[in-house]
Amino acid sequence: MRKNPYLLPLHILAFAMLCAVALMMTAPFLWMLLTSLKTQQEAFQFPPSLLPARPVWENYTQLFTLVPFGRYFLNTLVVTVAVVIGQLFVCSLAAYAFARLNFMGRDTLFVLYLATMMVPFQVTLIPLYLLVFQLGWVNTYWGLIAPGLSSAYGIFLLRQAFLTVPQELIDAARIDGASEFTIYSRVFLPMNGPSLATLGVFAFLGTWTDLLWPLLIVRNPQMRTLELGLAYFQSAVPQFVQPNWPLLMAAAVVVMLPVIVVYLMAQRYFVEGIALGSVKG
Amino acid sequence: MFAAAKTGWRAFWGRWNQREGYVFVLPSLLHLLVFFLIPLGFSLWLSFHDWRGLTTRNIPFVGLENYQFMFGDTRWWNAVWNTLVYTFVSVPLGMVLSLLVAIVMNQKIPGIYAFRAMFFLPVITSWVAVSVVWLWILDGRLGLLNYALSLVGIDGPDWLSDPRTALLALILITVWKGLGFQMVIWLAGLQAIPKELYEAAIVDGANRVQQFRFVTLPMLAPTTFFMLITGVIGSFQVFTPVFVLTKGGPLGSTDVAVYRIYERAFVNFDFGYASALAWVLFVFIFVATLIQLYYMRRNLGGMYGR
Amino acid sequence: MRRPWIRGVLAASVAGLGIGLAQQQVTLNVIGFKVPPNEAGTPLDKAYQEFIRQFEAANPGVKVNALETPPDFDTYILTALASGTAPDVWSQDGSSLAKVAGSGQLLDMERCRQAVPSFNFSRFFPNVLALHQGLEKGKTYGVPNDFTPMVMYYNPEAFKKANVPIPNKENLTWDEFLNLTRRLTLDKNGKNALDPAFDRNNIEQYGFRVRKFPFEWVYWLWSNGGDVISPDGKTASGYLDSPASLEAITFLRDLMLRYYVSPTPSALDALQANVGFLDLFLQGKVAIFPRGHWELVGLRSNKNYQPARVAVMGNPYKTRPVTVMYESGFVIPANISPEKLTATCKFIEAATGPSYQNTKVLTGIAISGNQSVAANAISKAPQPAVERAFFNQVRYARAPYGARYAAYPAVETVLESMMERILAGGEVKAEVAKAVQEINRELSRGR
Repeated sequence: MRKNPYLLPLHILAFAMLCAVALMMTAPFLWMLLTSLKTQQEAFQFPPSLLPARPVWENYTQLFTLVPFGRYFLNTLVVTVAVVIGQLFVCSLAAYAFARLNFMGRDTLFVLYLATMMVPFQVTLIPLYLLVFQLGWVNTYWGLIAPGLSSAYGIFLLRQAFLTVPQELIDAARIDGASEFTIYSRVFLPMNGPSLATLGVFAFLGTWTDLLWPLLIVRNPQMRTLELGLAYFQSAVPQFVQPNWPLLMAAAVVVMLPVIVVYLMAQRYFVEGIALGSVKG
Repeated sequence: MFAAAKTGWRAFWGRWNQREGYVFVLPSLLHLLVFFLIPLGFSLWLSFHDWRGLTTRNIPFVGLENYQFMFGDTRWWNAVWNTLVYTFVSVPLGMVLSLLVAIVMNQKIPGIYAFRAMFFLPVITSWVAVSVVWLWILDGRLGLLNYALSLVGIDGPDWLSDPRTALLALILITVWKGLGFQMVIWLAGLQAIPKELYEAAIVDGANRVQQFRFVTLPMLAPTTFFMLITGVIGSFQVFTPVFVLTKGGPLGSTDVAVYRIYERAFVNFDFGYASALAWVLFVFIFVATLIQLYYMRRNLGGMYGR
Repeated sequence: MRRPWIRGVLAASVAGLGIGLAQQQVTLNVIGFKVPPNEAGTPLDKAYQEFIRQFEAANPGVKVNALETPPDFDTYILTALASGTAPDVWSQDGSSLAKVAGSGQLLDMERCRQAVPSFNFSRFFPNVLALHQGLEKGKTYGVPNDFTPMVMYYNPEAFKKANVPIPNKENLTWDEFLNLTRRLTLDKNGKNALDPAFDRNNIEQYGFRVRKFPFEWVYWLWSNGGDVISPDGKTASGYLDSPASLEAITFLRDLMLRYYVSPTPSALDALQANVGFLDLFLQGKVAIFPRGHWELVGLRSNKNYQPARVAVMGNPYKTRPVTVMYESGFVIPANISPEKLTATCKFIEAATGPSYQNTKVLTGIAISGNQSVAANAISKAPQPAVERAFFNQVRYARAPYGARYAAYPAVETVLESMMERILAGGEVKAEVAKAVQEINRELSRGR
């Protein structure tokens, strides 16, 4: 694109627009970040200050000294990693079957999977809890992990991605005598990095920030996840007093940070752009 | 599928291929059965019972009473209507905007990694922070949006407090928050398109618009299909933004189906009726999905899925 | 190794005579006797720990496992009860008592009185204890922990600005209240709402705040002899649409839409765009508003707080002074195991006694349900006059509907949207008639 001078002003315009939109997208996050560095006094002053007069790190130190942060972090990590790995494996297996294998009842089964997304979670919540309780999984990692090990959403996402793999590749592999599992693991998984990364990010995001399910499953303070631990931290009768915004926002930032890191790592799988301009040049 | 004749082992392989399908699906199927179908069956059973207490003993069977009650429940039908409006506006809007963003994000632009990360930020930003900032933006008198509108001579409404605009404002906020999420899916779809197709199109003399029309769009069909189906399912179940921002008000203008279900279940402890409502919502979504499947199959042929 | 019959005799003596000689270790899971981590080391934290230490010392063999109050408590307790894993003691909101107790989930406290004869219920305010007895004749589901009557907060500085003397009685009549709030409402020229030249488009100070939420207005109906639903909870016809109720609703509507003494919802939103309501109140922008004791915590932690800006009076009335109480009471699940019963009841006996109830002064959230503790708290409170004004309103306090009718949450939803439409200019009679119809539909379901 550098070779084409006529494109330059257009690019500058596009870039400027991107910056404007990016500001819109980041404003609430920046507000979170800046508020987390203010004193409670400053957070409520009017007119509101944009930058904290003097950044206060005490909100974070308070968070880290009062909450057994390491333990909560470890719990969350164990649960989230297990769910992400489980979902990637279980969903990709099923997705391969739905996209590329023929078996009786395949389409009906697929619609059934789709249907599972159509029931609001609030409705199955209590029956699901009673079930997990009967299984004796309350207060265990297993109780936190098991319901998340597969997701219809993930299966659907990967199935659609697997549909775009050219049929010739499969035919060639089959003629070479490769087993279906080999085709799945050697052809489909490597070819669908971006989609697997997408599912990984979403599964991570969902599990890492989940509050409702851990709230029901965890009884022992030692088993709390990060989000749950921080929710307890803030549950001091918030309806009676003005919430401690800076602390609340510091807590939100602490929960978010790992998700951002994971997202940035996953970005590597979204390989460099196809860059139409450079092909043309 | 194969030109080769069905020799002995191939016939066997064909059957095994069938069986392999089940083997591949088995783990997710077991999961589905235990963690979804059983609880779901319980909720269907509940929808024919009057379970308003907390005990699991002595739950009276009431037949179709819950469903009959629903027909005269004006609050519920108002919520269903709002949900339909929400879905029909937010799904296309979100899909088109996020596709545009994804196409831009798929270019070689300085700082593209940073931009991609920034566009994903709203997805992970807590709803509390989101609501505070948007309340500032949308405020009737002091809000940023109405300030911008006043510059071009428009006297903007009090967006979230005016029954005429509250749903629209809610749609804009959710589209904004979901944009990064959808962008990532579109990006994955764009990345999967082989470069050779574009090279071939360029050789054939296709310009950018033609490349988009004849290469990008058809190759994105499976992604489009996915986005549409999940988008409709998801927006039929919109809940969190309503819960955080408007609680269904003003004057019921942002009341939605799942908010009704939530209130019936967790505020009124009226689980039988809430389950009945959920099953009716489920039927609505199911029908909507079948219609989409039908049209996709007819208009896109094999590309919606083989 | 004890022989079985000895164990049987022992168990009988524990249950029947209430002699706490049980040798087995019993662990009680109790919610609400522990502060969240960010309050560790505060006087409240120390008071809680000291209370538990004393209880354990006085009751060898009983261990108290104090748990923090989980976030989203309703969902938590709902699932815990459904699976039979509820804690042994928690403090349940009185306004949702009926829907929890209604299905036989809670223990009748008469059994506690039998198990622990020393447990004397006369320590409680009789009308607050009555909240736990309104659901079923002869049954007492829980006992009071703490509570608050709804009162009127007012800012004396706003009175001074409007040149209005502070009323010399605790409960005004409607007419007196209307006159007062009109004189307290000032436009930008300092003219009050009684002045013919009053500019209602530029109001600087409002006399009162009316909102759609039923918890802030149902007792206005009572103060005129009106009601929402019939005592048996079966119909709203003849109650919500009775002349007395209609008059009360119209009075509230008129405060906002005819006399301009309350900001409209959108005017209130605009005022609160960048500050909390308490800032507005403490700055004198709204002179009077209805609220409970808990608001003192918010007021005192506000940066605009000065003791001279906060005072309290009772609710205005037409036929008799009355208010609603919002309460939280200790409850025990019905399926409590027999070996835990005595220890649990003893724990509640202790928790309603002075050593725990004195912590109410520390939190300032509510008034103790224990009469003598509440009386003693007046002089210990940061503002004894305010505390006394609260105390004096207790005798007028009635239980909220949610303590009596399991179906009330659905009714409340209807009442809220009814008032929302009326305050938006809807016709009172028509809106009430619609609401009555909808409420009757809700009440006719099942049961």
